[in-house]
Order: sequence, then C-alpha cells, then structure tokens
Amino acid sequence: MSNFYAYVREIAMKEYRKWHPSDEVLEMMYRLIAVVVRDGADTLTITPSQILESTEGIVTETADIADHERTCEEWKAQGRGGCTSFRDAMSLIYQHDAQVRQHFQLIEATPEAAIYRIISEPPDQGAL
Amino acid sequence: MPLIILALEGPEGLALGLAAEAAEGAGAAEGVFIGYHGTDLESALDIMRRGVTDEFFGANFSSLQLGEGFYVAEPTANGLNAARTFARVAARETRSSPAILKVYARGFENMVGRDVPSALWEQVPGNFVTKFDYLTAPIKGLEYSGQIKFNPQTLQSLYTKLLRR
Repeated sequence: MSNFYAYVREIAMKEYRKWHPSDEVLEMMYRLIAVVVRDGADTLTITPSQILESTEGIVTETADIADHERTCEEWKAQGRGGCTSFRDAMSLIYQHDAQVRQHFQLIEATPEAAIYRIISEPPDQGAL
Repeated sequence: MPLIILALEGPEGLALGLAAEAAEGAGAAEGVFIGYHGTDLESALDIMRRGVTDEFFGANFSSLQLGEGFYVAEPTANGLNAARTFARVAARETRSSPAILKVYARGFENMVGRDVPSALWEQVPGNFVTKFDYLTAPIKGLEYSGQIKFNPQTLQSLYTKLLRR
C-alpha cells in the first residue's frame, strides 16, 4: 500500500496535468490525500468549512478550508472563473484518477459533506 | 489606506494595493508591505531566521506558475485567505501549525514588474526573470487573489514578519 502513497506524492501531482490545467487547489488536495493515507485514517470528509480525517468514527485531524471555500463561492457568484473548491478538486481527482478511485470510495455526497471511505493502509515508515 | 486596499480584490486590487503601499512606504526606512506568504510554522521561523533564500522557492508544488522565486499573495483580504489556505495545508503535511508571514520589500518603488498572461504560466520566458524584478498573475485555482513572485536577484530586498492574530 505504500506504493499508493508514493504514487500520490511523486506521480499523481504531476500527471494530473494530462487531464486538467495546472491548479494549486488540485495539488493541495493531492497533498491532503497523501496526508490521510500517511496518517492511516479510514474516512475523509469534506464539508464547506473543513477537511476531516477520521478513524472508526472519531475525527483525528482537521484542516480549516472555510476561508477558501467561501471566497471561492463568492467569486463564482460574480460570474468569475479560475477558482476551484476543495470539494470540487476531490471530485475531479476521483473522476479522473483510477488509482485514487481504487483506494477511496465515495460513500455519501450531500450539500453538507462529501464522505470517502479510505481503502488503503499507511505507507511504510521508510516511504515517508 | 488599508481599508482601500482591502476593498479591492483580485488583480486590480494587487496593482492598486501595491501602488498605494509603495507611495506610503516611499522614503521610509522600512520596506513596503507586499503581501502574505502562508506556510507551516517551522518553515516560517526558518525564513525569518535565515532570510528569504532560494531554498524557499515553492518547494511543495510540482510546477511553478511564474518560475523560480519567492511567491507572495496580494496584500488584501483575499490574499490573506489564499495564504491561510496554503498555510493550513502545509501545516497538515508537517504536523505543525499554520503560519502567515507578512512580506516586505526594500526599494520596491524602484523595482520593475511585469504581469504574466495565462498563456505563459509555467513557461515563463527566461528574460522575464532576468529583466524584471518581480512578476504578477492571479494564483491558478485561487484566482480571487493575485500574487507577486520575486525573481531570484531581488531576494535580498525582502524581509518578513510573523502575522500575529
């Protein structure tokens, strides 16, 4: 499974430009995918304000994304482009990256949250 | 002055905000406030301790939108939002705390910059780096904020302070 961590860190973050223009939010989302795999979490939840890692129903880590997601929404409401939300970034990755689909399973998508079950194991210490 | 800058977001905000800050800072011993750099706390302290060097050239990204240099989000509320986002992701990666640096440039009023059109992102011509002191563009994926990238030859003009909130 450490191969998946290495794939995300070393290959996916470069290869995604074959299916999407370069985008720093997409890259940050890949980096967060690597983080949750490294941490051994079993669930990734993206809400309009946070990205949560949890294990057996207990939230173990959070990243506050509220400022970005809100500003992005306001920007889009003005009819302007060039802003990617983290939720959309994960959705795009899930749609285009077969390796991510193999290790993450979308189990719920509501306006409040997108929830992915992680079918992966943390990388070997040597891979970090 | 800060109220005016905060009211202007996006690339226009960057240009006008920087012009206003340059006018305000001209002749002052201190440099001009340029904007925000978001990172994890250890990296922020490292930058403050050692100064801005080529070791801090967008190390976390697979491609550099405006080429090698030191990237700063615009001095507006939206720029601060962008820097916070970068900082929070960096902090999760390093299991650290997020940190925002306020970036200042000495002699900014004498520097020459250039806006880089999207067609040249990630393939900035070499003379853009040698001929200009800094380059500007919206941040790809976070285009609600502009950014200014200082070219390597200008790094010694930069200094930073930790944003305390």
